[in-house]
Amino acid sequence: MKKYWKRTWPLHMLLLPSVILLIIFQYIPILGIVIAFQNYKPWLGILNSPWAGWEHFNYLFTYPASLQVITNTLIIAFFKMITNLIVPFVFALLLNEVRRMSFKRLVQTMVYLPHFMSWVILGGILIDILSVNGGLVNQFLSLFGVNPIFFLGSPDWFRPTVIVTDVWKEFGFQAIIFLAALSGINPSLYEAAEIDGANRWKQTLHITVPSITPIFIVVATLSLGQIMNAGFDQIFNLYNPLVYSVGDIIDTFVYRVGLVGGSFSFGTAVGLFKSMIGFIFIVVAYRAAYKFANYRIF
Amino acid sequence: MMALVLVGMTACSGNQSGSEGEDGPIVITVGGLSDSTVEFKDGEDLEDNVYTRWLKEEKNIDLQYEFVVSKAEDYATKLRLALSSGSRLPDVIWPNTIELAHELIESGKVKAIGDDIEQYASPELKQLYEEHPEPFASLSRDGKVYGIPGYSSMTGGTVIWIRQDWLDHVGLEAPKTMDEMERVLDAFTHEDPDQNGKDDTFGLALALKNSYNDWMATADWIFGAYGDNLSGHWVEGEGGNLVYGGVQPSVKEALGTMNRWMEKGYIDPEAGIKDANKAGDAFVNEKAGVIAGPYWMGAFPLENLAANNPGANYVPLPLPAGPDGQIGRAWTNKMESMILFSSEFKHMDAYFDVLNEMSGFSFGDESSPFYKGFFNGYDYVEYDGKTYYKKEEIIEHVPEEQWPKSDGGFINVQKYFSLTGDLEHPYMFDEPLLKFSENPEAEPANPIESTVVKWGKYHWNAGAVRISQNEHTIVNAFTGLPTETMMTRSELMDKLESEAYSKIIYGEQPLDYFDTFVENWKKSGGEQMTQEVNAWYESTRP
Repeated sequence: MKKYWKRTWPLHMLLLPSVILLIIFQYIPILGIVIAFQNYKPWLGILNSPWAGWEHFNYLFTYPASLQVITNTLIIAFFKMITNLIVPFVFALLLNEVRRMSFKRLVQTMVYLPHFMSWVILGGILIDILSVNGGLVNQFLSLFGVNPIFFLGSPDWFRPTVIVTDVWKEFGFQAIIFLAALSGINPSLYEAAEIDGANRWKQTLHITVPSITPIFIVVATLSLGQIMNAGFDQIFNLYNPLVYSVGDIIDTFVYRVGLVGGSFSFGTAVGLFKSMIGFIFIVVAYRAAYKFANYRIF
Repeated sequence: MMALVLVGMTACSGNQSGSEGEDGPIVITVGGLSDSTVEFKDGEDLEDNVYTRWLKEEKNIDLQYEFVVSKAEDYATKLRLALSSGSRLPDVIWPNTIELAHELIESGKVKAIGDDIEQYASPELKQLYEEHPEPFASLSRDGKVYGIPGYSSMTGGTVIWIRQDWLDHVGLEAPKTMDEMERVLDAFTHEDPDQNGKDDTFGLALALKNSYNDWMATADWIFGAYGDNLSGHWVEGEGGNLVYGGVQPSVKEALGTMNRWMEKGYIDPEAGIKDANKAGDAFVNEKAGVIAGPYWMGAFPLENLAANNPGANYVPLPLPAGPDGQIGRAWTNKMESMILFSSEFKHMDAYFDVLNEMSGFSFGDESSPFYKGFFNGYDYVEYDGKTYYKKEEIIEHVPEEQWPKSDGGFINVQKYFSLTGDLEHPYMFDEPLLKFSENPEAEPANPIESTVVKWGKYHWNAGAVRISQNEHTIVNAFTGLPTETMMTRSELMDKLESEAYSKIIYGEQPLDYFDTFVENWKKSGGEQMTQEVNAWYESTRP
């Protein structure tokens, strides 16, 4: 043991600064969650603020609008999660089959550009594009005799619109991980398959897909932690009273409550609740991935 | 008699603050804001400029910054941080919300200043406070006054902007009543008012996404035409009690009108998903012919319309009267900012000495050193015995080395008056606005008029229209802290309201749904809220 230490202590020392930083900036602030159980007053501080027990959680779960916003959050987040996995995956597979490098690069650049635009700007652009009054999309649909659709103001259309626009913004960027995994596949596998007479489709099915399945599982498992995040920036810029019933999510709700009360404690309580749900989902998914796919991340 | 004594005391205190300075300058700490709108002369900065030098030389005050922020929102964050970390607050504090002001008061770190106002404020200032006492209700707690207001010049207030050229094309007069307005909206929607041969216009641009009284494309005048009730306003009802404007029967009539207009296509079909800026685009891009908003909209954003189409002619109109001749518009808060003082601050006499003297411009006090403006060579220029307030005149008459800025423009020194703010008083610009709208060629008779004369004709005319309807302002009588029920329930109730309103306007629910909404509103805390608001109202009345 002593010998082992003698040999490895420089490596441990190398690790030490990162561990210290992690403790200072990630673990110590976790103590701040006690705010969720207090009636926090900034001038009294964490140590002297009065305790509130479960009051803020009670408030969240008994508030008449809570069920609605939690349901909306779960539905929007779930469909975003699924589509944001499948669309980039399929896109990466398709792009991988493109032989002209210049074309491939051009497409890749174009599809991940929207990722860098903020929802404040995109919100304004989308209102114009989706306008019932000569917006691009409705003009296109009118070619097929479809009546103008009020995408952002109709409760039937709001959720699909939110999900599709989010995927449109993010799929190019998400695909980068899959593309990276694809480029890591050993070319000799394909050469061997070709000699055995496998066509492109068979190669994709039996080499490409199995090779990037582990990455897919990692991405899927990690994204489960986002099950309570339906995307504040996007919803906040697109929603309106007409679609509150289907579009109001936990984060926008907390924002509106906070505007009036300026209540740190309530915000922390909701944040803690969201983190707990996300944590449970990650643990379950990780177990499931191990059990059914025999795959471990850690 | 009392007044005489007070004047005597003020004079005394003025001398005192001078003599105190013999043991060194009086240090006053503040928080500074330095964003892109703050301009300095070459070689000057926040720490050393004409204002800080004047304070030092004339008042023996050494202005020091506890912190400097580059965004207005950060100022409040700094205050909250100082509160939570227990570090020193600036001597002079500017909370941005009434909640923050009361957090400060509750923390015990700011002091009651009722006696100081009594003792040190000039008679003119006291008279001003007496004439416009409403803000002090927000700044008081348990009968003690904790701050002084920075007044708004009260130039807000909705007017209608309409396309005169469109009116001419469809052969209609400017609408004076809601019925005439409906006729105009119909013509703007169906009679091709822009004469481009396409059916691509509608009547009215509205912004209903965030509120029914957004800063532009507001709907307050539609509600006001049916009664002095409006969402977000607590108004005096029968028996002098306060009632919530958003649930009164007259609102139902207004919603009925808006529903009819929406159905007939008079209103922007996307009004429900647009905020003020987005809705304003419809008017600027010549899709809509009518929009409501503040009188200064003529400059921004409507100047963009003039840039798009030089032939576009838009004019301000008074709000149309409802069926019973009723007119109403949303209120403007008289209090634009709040000034509180750290409990450690010892020099209230010196503070009021500065405030008294610098108020000279707004009072039009000819004996004041600030009668002509604040600082020569900054917000006005004196040259060769004449005083100049217009950029063009300066470029013409004054040698370049005496221009405030290298392009001949002025420097808005008020931006860094960190002790007093911009020192405007309610309605101070109203008379000059009326004067120039009646006679654009009139000579400005005093420095305040000289300020107004450079704003230009859209401001004068729309200002005069706004002033003509000042009496129709629906006053929000509740200016206190959010009550207990508001803290816990107002999100729910605002949501109930905006959902119900939008559904009725868009015809997803019949008009009678309004009654269901009112029932819901009362049950969800509205009744309790009304009681709390009235308890507050009682407590503010003498």
